Amino acid sequence: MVLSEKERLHRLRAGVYSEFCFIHEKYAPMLYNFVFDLCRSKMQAEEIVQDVFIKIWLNRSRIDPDRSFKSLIFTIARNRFIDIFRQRMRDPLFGDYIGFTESLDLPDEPVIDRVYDFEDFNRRLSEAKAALTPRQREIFELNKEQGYSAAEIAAQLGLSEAVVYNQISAALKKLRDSMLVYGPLFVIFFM
Amino acid sequence: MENFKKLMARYMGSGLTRKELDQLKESSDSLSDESLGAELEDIWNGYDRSSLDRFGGIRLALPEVGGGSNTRRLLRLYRSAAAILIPLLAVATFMAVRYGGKYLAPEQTVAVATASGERSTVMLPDGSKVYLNNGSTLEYGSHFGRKDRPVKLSGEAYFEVSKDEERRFTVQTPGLKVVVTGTSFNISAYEYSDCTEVSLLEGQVKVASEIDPDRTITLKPNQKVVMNNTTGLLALYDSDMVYETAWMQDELIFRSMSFADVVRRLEMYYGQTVEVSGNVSDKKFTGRFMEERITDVLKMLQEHYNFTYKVRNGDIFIDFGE
Repeated sequence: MVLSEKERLHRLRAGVYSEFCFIHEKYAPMLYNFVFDLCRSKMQAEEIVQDVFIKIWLNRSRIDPDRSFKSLIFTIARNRFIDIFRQRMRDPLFGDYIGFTESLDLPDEPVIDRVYDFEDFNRRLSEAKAALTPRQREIFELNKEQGYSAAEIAAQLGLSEAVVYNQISAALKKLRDSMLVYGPLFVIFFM
Repeated sequence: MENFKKLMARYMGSGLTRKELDQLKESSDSLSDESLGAELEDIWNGYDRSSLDRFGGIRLALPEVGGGSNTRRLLRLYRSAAAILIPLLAVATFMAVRYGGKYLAPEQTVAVATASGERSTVMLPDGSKVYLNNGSTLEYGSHFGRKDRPVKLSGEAYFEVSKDEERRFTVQTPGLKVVVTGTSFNISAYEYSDCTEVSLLEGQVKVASEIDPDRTITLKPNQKVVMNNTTGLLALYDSDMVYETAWMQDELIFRSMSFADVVRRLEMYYGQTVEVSGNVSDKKFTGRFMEERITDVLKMLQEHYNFTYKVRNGDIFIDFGE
């Protein structure tokens, strides 16, 4: 059946289930890609796509057929987009993740065709941290995750700055070694 | 703003450096939700990546939303009812064989429920139609239509009952019992409400209060009875039935309603949570809305009331201030 988008929206509004299938087939992948590009998490992309389409169906009687499928999706997903994007921007580990993905790319080759999931990255990082000594882990977390400088950490833990620097280096080396399995080529991360 | 656009294009496309990310963080922090929303809308409008190849060709499953027609929903219920029925039948047969005598297969109940913001139509086995409003539940048993036609309702529904003078059609709500013989009528029996209403359009119904069963009223067309849920007192009114059946036409009508009740209707109708804070006005509201988005309704309410509102994640926060 060849129907215009407006006709399809009318039918969707009336509860024609096949139109729901149609809009899902056409736009769910795009929404998934968009959310992933926005927050680098496959899990959140999947969740948001599910939630948005469920909401579209449940609120189908209030669809405005004069607008487009695409704008309907945005209306429903808008606040989720804002929230997850802000969440990522505020996550202290996201910077490291970006640095990591940056280091994996060759200068002129875009990252578009490779997928580095932020949640995967965090998981591997947690696993890698298990290889650190408690002291190294503590110092690493204070420096990388909480954002304290070596001087502040030294003062806080009653150590000399030199010792703190050494511990950070040792921790980074260990992490690099165990994260090596994540990507075939990388230079340096955690600058 | 321009810098933000450039950085976002890199972030979502070719990739960012650490330094650029810091700039993007700063840039986005200074944007209000409204501006950020507008920027994201631009990006979404121009976005066209549809291939899932980079994710290893994953497939996105269609969400379970019940298939869209009530027949499908009812079929699902019948299927699960049948699954229960078979072992029960087996037990019942066993009992009958052992102990002799007649037995009646245990009655299975079918329930159709709508969530807030959802509406549904149910076709009963006798051909009667029930239009369910938001947040309502209709129940009937598998014995429906045998000797009589009893159903249970909580919430709101509009009934079109097939004529059958031999099999009485009755609707049981938490506080009221309605007996009909082939009619069109509306029942509003929401649990959160102070009262239950029965509005008759065609035919004849008899209404009896559960709290005081001696109180019965026979309704004629274009009459409605309102029962106070606490006292069980029944009051009879004439009505043109426009207000009572407006919900069927996608219209929201408010007649001299308190703000709290308006908010509750909006929550039910749109299926969204609305929180109210501050010094709520006690002014009553009368108005009519047709197929509007909830934000349009709120904007119009702001012409009568002095409040501000925020939308967050689909929830609405109204503030009257001090």
